Amino acid sequence: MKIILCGYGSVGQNILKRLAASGNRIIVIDEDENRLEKTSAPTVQGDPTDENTLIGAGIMDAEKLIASTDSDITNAFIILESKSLNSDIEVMSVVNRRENIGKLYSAGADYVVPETVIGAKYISKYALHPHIAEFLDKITVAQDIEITKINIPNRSQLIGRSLAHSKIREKTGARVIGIKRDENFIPNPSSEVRIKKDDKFIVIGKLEEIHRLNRWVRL
Amino acid sequence: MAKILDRFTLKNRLLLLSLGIVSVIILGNIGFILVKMHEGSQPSFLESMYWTIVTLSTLGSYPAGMTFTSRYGMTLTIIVVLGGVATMGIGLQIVVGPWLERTMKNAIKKKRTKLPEKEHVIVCGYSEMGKEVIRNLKSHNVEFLVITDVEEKVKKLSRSRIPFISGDSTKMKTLKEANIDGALSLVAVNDDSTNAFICLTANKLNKDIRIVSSVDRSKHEAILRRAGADHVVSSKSITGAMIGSKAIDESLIDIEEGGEELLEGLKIEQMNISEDSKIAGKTIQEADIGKKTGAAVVGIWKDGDLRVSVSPSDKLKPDDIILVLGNSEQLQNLERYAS
Repeated sequence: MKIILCGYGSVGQNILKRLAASGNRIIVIDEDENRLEKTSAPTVQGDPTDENTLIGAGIMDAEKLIASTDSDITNAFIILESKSLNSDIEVMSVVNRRENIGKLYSAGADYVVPETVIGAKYISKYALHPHIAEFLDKITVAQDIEITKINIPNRSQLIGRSLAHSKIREKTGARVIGIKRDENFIPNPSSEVRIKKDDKFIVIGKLEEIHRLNRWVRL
Repeated sequence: MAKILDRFTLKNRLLLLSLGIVSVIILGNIGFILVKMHEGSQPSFLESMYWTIVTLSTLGSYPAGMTFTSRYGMTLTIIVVLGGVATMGIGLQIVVGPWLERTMKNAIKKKRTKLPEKEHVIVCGYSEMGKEVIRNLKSHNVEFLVITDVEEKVKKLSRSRIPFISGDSTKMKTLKEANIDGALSLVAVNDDSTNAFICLTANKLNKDIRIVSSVDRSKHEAILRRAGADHVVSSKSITGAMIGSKAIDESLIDIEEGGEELLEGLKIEQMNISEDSKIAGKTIQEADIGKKTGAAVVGIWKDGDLRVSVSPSDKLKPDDIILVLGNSEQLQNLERYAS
């Protein structure tokens, strides 16, 4: 997948950190040469609100674009510009002020992440429930723990077994905290629940535990 | 004159003014009767009172028989008029001025919401971030107060029902006024250097208070920690990580507004293991929380350390804190089961 990242400030750098290991092709656009020097990904130096810059970065055949400059106004313009150049592209954007969330959606963004709202949520969590906050921080930012979805392959040997019998906990260390089955969701399934075809597991665990589980369900 | 009067309360000042008015009236009455007698007539008390009031009111026209013919009469008129004007003039100044001032002060005081005294959160800074934090605290029903010294924001706050202090939150005096001794935590949401100074000040006043600070540039995080912040939050890092995960479809966590939900109705809650809890002293396996309640233990805090690999043989000791995951029903079950 080709993803264009517009704006390489603090937010942009953190986005790239997350995307770098994903195996996707990332192109970074920023006006500031000095910022781009530190980048591991391919870069285009220029104004991301300028049509030519976006075309130069390859917007025409990109699947996703992320607007992550510090200014809501610039981000809005990037959204408008990129949607008019490539109507199929999926656009995500950061937004600073709460009042601008709706505006960026009307500009055409598919997903808007409000920076102040999220920051404040964490700050309040730390002020009131620091133990949960630290746990969430490990999941979302530090990524020591992951909560992720795992699809059970059609030919998995686990199909038909109960969770207890699947030995997921013993063999991988990861834990199934929910099963999505058709339209239903089974929260914290008990050990007697039988694994069915097309089940999707919501699992929690350390990165290596998740990797082990991914291999285990494929056996 | 004004200095001496400072010692008089408003009530005494009012008394002084009435005394002044009464003495001028008595002076007028006695003077009128004496002068009229001197001029050879027998005035009644009603006549003397009538004359005094007309003179004091400075209307300046008397009916026949009330005017003086002698020099003494003119002198008396002058004295009474001047006495009356002076009494009223000074009286207004010493009584009405302070009275107005007091009424206005009361009006302002009444409008200002009472400051919380304990278990509250002190929010230093009424920035966009500050406002968002307040929104969150409100939804948790936690008491809080805001400190800001930006005039414009003070004005806005005084028109709201939000408890606030107008002052500099890097100063000890302001934080003391915010009852920092009893506060649960303090939140600093300004620029990095101001936040650092707030942390230093707060730490000096209350060693136990939990200090949470926002940070603009993540390289300042270590400095803020050294200044005494227990938790430093970089909204840019979190936002970046979240967008990144969302872009590659990894993120399952709902960050949409309002809800405390993690995903699909699942919530995380913390639970302190108390001495008399039913599960205190048991291992995870013995406590059997999963089977009994449906909730899952996903982490244990022991002596300030978070452990996320929970094994069945882990023992739950008093003062441990467990993190439990479940939907509302499962979490309620657990609460009933453990207490």
